[in-house]
Amino acid sequence: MKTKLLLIATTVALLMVIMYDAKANDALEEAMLNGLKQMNEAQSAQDLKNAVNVFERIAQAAPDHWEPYYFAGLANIKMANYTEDMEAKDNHWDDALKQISKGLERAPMESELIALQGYCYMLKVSVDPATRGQSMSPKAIGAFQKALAINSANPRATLMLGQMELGMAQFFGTGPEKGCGLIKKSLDLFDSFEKPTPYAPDWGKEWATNVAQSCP
Amino acid sequence: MFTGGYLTAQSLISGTVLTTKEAPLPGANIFIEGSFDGATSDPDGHFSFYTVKTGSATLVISFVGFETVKLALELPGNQSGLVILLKEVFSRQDGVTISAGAFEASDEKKGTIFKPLDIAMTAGATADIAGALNTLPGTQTVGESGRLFVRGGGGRETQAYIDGAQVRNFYNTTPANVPARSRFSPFMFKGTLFSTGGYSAEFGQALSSVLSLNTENFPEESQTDLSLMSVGLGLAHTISGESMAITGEVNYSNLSPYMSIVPQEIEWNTAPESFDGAVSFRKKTENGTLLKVYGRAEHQRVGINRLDDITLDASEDMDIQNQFYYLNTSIMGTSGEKLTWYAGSSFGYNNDVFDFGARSLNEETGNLHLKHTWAYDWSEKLAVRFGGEYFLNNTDFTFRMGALSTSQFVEEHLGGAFIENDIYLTKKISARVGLRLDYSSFLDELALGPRFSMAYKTGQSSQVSLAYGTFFQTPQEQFLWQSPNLDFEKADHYILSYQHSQKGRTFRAEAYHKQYDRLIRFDPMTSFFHTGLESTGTGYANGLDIFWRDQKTIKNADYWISYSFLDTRRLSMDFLEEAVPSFASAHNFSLVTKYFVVPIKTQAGFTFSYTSPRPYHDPNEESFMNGRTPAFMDLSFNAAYLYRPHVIFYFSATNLLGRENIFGYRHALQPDGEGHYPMEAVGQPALRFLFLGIFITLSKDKTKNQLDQL
Repeated sequence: MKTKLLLIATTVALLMVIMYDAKANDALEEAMLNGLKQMNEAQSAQDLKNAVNVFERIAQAAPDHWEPYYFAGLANIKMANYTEDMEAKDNHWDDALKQISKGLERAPMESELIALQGYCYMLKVSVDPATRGQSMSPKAIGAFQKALAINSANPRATLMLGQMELGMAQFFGTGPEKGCGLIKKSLDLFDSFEKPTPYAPDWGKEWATNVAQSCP
Repeated sequence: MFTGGYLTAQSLISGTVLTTKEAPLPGANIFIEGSFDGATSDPDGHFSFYTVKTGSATLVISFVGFETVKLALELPGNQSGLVILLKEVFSRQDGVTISAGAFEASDEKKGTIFKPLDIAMTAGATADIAGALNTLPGTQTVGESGRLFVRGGGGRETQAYIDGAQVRNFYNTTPANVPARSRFSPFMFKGTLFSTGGYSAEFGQALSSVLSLNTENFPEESQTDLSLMSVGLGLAHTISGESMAITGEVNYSNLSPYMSIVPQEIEWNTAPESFDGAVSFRKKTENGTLLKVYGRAEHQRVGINRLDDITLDASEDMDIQNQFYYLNTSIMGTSGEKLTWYAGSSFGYNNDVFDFGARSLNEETGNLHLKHTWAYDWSEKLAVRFGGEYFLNNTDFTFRMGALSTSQFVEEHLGGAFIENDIYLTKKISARVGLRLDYSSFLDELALGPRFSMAYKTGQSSQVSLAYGTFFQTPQEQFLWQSPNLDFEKADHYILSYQHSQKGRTFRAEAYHKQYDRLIRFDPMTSFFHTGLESTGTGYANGLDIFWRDQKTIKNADYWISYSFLDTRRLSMDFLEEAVPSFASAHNFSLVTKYFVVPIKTQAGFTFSYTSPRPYHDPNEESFMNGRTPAFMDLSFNAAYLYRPHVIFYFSATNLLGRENIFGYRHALQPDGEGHYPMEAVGQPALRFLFLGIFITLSKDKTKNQLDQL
């Protein structure tokens, strides 16, 4: 009898823990989705700053999750679109890189974070290819390759590696086959991609579709 | 009713975030610690949000670049009308960097004027470090030497360092009046600091200038580099792992085929030929300690036929053989968050044999340098650097005349110690105060050199800097053994600098005064074995350097303009009266242009240089150093064509205008039968220098492999 009671008590306790955990996860999910909504509907740099702050708040309240830093970084990358000043753009990308490395402290082998890091380098090269290309392009390519080594089905890493390859092919006048091959592969990966959580990164398909249109 | 109860547990938190200067601070993050509840301040600094938290809580207000504020709260309970003042954090990166005297090239540091690639791709320099730096203000072109001459200083007044340790014999050995090149490829270096005066107390044994070169920390990937050039071949291979990397390279150059096609002004008995090999090793540990080892061996040979020194009448052969070995080791690391340390060493051996047939000179030098420095950050506003170093310089001269020979040996132990404080007084003012101690065993002299510099930010993108310092250098080895009573040569620098830098455009103007003291003097009637050697020479250099670089106005184009004005005189060496030395020129001008032609994937550039007439001594004239050479002018071109990401074609040509430049005149040491001293013009070894090369990089590029599998 005693054992039975103990069993019931344990079960109840366990259930409560699970429920509490679920509730906490619900709250996290709600907060994340709210942040994503703010980011996706942003009309100004100020709106994006709001989103960054939401993600940073979540990051400090939910210390086991890398996603808040991922999106804080992504929102900073988007903020760079609201300025024409190269130094201001650089500052946003540097902020994004800082947030990504905070995320990597929590999840060092997260393919999505590493791909986003590569995206920052790629953007930094794009504003000054003559001086930055040589030192930073290998960093970007290296990041995409590492992201794909961890998860070969990462559609964003595949897309961006394809984009880099297309840029090089365009510059050197070689064929776009390799780049287009990667872009098309990324489209397949986007189609079969299943979000592990409702707030996992899922952007990029539109970009891939647009680029794919210019492929033979 | 249930919802009402729920509402009462909610607390409203609202207020305003201001800077300490009471300006609204938009974008600050205000939240309850450990919860998702919070808000962002609006353009007026206002914020408000609800929280359902109860009990003791902490309200956090944070914004990048400001000190975070935390307030204790008891919840539930409304908090409205909070006024929070955030104080700006002082960050060294926002502070003003002292720029007087220094030109820095780096990819990583922000705000540098130059990139490492700029040095490699300057027309006229043919990928020679000194050649490229000669397009900067503060330098005087001395065409027959090829070395760096800075602000009225001689060639030996610039000291080169690689990864913190000295490199003597930085230039290759050439016959008199044939320009030298630096032995090291500009592609080796990822960071370059070229200081034309007022440099840090870390550096001693240089009267005028310091060239500090830093090699690549860690190669990114394994690769093979192949160079096919009109003057030789090169092969390099790098193996790069997670924590270790090793590079080996061999180069062979021989100008003989080239010189048989392109007409030469000099009679070459043996065209310059060199063979060199280098190995570099890198290891990094998990805690960030980095070990770098670089070793190099080089053999060179060259021979010319020229008029003899004594009468300028008979011709004589001169054959030079050079051997150079260099080993550089450095290790850098951190202990805790605030202390960084560096330990470095270099060992160099150089042997020059000048063979004139009947007579010869054999000069052997060995140079050891050990150095240890520490940097400690007391706070964001105060950093101290200190260190010590030891040099051992050995020189062995052997003269041979027929069957007679004589040897001289000089050994000098040098000790140096320095301490320097970087003080960031405010965001607008920073200062560097240092002191350096040098001791030479040979001179038996202890010298104390103060260094001071400061910068004041006059506007968003402009600053004024000033620098002062006392610098010492041991006299040339060839004089040391001839007199036991010599002193350190001494120079005082005073520099005032203004810089305006904004988005791809930089303007800099620098005025300076340099006072020389205790320079070497000797009896002018002696030419090799000097008498009357003493450290009583003096001199001065006053000047103005102007620099303008613009990477913005014209798309894909980049240009810089340098102008240097120099007024200098000295009483040194064999001078009987104060005079302008032969290496000094009053006006130096350079225009360097680079243009990237996108449709043909080519970077092309022109460099125009002008140097005003230089003085020379004509013994047939009454007055001393009264002759003036014609002005020097050069227009050079270079182009790099990126055929594929890993294949580059490079072409360069100097002196497109075909000008017969004259750098000076040699005069005979003895008059001819009519009492007249014969003279000979010193010109360019060839009218122009043409260079063509193909550079191929083969890498085990994972992209390509992966893409091929698709």
